[in-house]
Amino acid sequence: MKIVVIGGGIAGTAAALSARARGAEVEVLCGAPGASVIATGVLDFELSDRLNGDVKARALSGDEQRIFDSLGAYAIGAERCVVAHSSGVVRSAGGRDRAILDLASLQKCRVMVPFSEHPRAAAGKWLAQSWGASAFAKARGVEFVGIEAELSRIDSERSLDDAEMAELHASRERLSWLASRLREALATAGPGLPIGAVVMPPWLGIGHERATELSALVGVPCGEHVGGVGGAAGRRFEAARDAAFKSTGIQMRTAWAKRITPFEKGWRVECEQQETREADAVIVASGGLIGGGLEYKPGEVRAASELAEFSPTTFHSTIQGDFIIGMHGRPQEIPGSSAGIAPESLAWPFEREPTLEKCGILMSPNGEVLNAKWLFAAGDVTSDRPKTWLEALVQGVSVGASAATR
Amino acid sequence: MLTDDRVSVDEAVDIVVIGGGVNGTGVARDLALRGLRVALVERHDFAFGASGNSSGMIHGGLRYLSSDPNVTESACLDSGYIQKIAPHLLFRIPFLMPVASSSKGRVMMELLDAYFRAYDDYQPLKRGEPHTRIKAEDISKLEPGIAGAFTGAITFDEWGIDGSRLCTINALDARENGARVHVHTVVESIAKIGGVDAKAPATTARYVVHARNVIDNTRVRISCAAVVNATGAWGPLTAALGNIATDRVRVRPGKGIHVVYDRRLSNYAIVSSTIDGRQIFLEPWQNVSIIGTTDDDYYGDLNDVTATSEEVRYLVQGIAHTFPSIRQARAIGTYAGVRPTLYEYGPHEDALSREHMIIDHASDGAPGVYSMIGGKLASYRVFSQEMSDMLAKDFAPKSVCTTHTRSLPGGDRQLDALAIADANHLDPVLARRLVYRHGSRAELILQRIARHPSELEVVCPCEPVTAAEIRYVVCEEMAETVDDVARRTRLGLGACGGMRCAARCAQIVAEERELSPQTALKQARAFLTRQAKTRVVAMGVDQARQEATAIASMRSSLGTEDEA
Repeated sequence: MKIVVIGGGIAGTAAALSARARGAEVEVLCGAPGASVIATGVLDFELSDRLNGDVKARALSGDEQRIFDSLGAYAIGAERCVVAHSSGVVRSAGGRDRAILDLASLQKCRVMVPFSEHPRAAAGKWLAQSWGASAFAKARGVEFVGIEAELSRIDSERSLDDAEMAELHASRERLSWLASRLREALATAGPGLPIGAVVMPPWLGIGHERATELSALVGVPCGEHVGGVGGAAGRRFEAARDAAFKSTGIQMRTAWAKRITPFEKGWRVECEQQETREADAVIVASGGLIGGGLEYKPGEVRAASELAEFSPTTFHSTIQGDFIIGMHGRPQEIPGSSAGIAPESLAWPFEREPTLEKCGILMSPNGEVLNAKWLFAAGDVTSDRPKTWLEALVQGVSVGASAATR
Repeated sequence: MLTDDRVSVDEAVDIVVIGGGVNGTGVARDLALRGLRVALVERHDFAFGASGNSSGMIHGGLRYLSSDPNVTESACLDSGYIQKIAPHLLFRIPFLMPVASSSKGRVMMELLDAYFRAYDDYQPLKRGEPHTRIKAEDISKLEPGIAGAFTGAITFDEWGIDGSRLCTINALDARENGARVHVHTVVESIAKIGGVDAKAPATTARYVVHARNVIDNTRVRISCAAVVNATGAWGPLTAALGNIATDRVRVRPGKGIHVVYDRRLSNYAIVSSTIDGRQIFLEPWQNVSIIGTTDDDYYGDLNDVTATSEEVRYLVQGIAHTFPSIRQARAIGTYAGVRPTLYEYGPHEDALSREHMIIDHASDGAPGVYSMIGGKLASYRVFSQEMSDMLAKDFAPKSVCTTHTRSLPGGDRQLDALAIADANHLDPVLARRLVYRHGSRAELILQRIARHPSELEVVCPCEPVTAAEIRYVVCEEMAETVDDVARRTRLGLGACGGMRCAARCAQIVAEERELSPQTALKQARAFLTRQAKTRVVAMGVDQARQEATAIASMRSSLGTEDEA
């Protein structure tokens, strides 16, 4: 039983681990980093959890929990966690990257927010005020206190961005330097509520264990606030994935899949540079518009003439195969304009569920691509696509299991 | 509180100027420089309307050359003046006008050559280069992107400008010369003060302008002897607030849109024509390219003007006719404005006059109230001078206009951006953009950075804009929201649509203005929603991908509630 997974994001990773756990021989073809790598490290089942305020999170099943745990870098529990975000909000979440500080257990204490002349740490002063104004802070009696601390060792570090600062803190020696500076700063905090935690900029290294080490050195729980899209959290995901693949014997190759064709009783995957793979089942987890699994192709970009060459459909899969691309769960229609559908109809904020988020490969409930036996799809490339990292994980686990049952 | 004999007011001035566009800020500056007491009231922000949404050019009135050469002369002369008073804000835009090969191609070429030879006579007034004739085979050497069969081409010279900054520094100079400036303040009525003798001198306080700040709802009452309605397409609405019939201030609102591309796509601004034969152009402008423009009668809400995808497609088709690769270029947004064109029933939009006029409302029972309508960005200074001269007859008969000789803020000295970058260890692009926007006042921002190194934080990496500049425009240039900061610095108007900077910018604005964290989040959301709305209509391939990322980012940080 051989399974080829196209895509090394969270959906592909979960599918690969899940199929491998059921005894399949698994190879992952990964073209390039995608949406999982720009994830912020905050895990939710559904966005509506937070937007509507009513908790709809469900517990992971046994299989899902095992796959989740094998990634190591993440924490999820029966209780929701609470994280501080660089936009100034404090929000609850289903789970988190372990480097991100969980505030859930704090009450009646001070949370210290170091800030400095480092341009990437200057926001701390304001963030403390903004987080302090949150409903969470008021309900729990938690005070967020900005505290001046030396966070850069030499002036030239001031020109480094968050990712570069995170790389600096991968060094143990640097981490203990930072710990001393934080201890010094905390010593100047003055009287008040006990100090419950320290919220750092998203700088705590590529390995998730740095936050734990720093906490031990400082003697207070330390962790990152959630940064913007594309911070160190994505790097930590890649590291966790590579480690999990290594320990379970999954091969991963850098290759762009171009075409999937029926072959004997299974499928053949053709890649660039004439590489091919034959497999009993194929799982397409190549990502949506962000990851590069789907393309937006309105007529107007096809030709540089006055009248654009007609483009039959608006969205295409980047891999040729027996796919039906759908929008909002239905096969996409031939547009009524040679210039393609009006972009106003595609994107937020005009619809609650923008077409951009609802386009992709149509499939049956078990994750099999419609009309194509033993060809599966998972993650953002599927039309009722999961919006969050956890949803992609859950879908990947179930699709991996379906594929391995052949 | 002041008491002006008959009524209690908060401010007493000679003249209230309503409208913070280029004409309103121009008049306010002119009058303030003459020593008059002026209040400027703007409903949204400086350059919110047509002034900040134009093609961004100070041109020499080329189209009037045959009908009215005096207009061309005065336009060129004024372009020269604007260069003198705000040299930092102007940049040369060489134009290339290809002539399609047809049976009339050769004749057309000769006619254009003669026409531009006449225009050359005026170019020295605005430091412009004379036109040149380009052979057909040389066109593709100058502009490899141009495709088609041509008889030849003509090049000529115009000047670009940032309209938002022009308004801001005019208002700034007015304020520095004593004017009271109210932004985000809507005029709710222009009331006559009762019991004023009809024969009283024109300088007697005759009106109270009632206005309300739309952000904090505080009210202000300003007494004055004269009112200038410089509200552009809003003109008839403003007149109605003084009980003047709207048909006395008739404009024919003409909507124009532009599409913005992520970089400079061509060496020259390239003239092309639309399917219905209108002249449009692709223009390298600051660090982007823009294509424009449309001209359509507008019947919608002036406070919320946005481009539609149909308008975008019409323009893109017209540019692609001459410059096909525009279809592969990356659009990063659109903007739209409404021209306050002089009213005429019947003619096609393009045939309408771009002239300006002043309406004296004395015959409408409102002596001392004037409406400025029509005009162009390029003629703002001379239009403002005409208005001010008229008022000065009553208020300061001996005063003279100095707006063409006195530098606008930042225009007094030219700074060497690269030397500044070197001396301060700044990114040279950052330094150049900073000096472009602020001229000599860039030094004030550099001083902030020297005092607080953390203000070197690059908040908007696309433009780029530092924390120091944001704080400066909030403290010194009356910016109150993320939108205001964007108009003054171009923050958030680049490829990412504010995804990376809106939240942080809002935090800084809130910190400086002592607003609540909730207000900061609301401002960031409003900005991003507006950006998404204006970007989506021009969305191409890469854009769709970027937008998907933006959605993910927005949802993970700010949420989608409270959509503005």
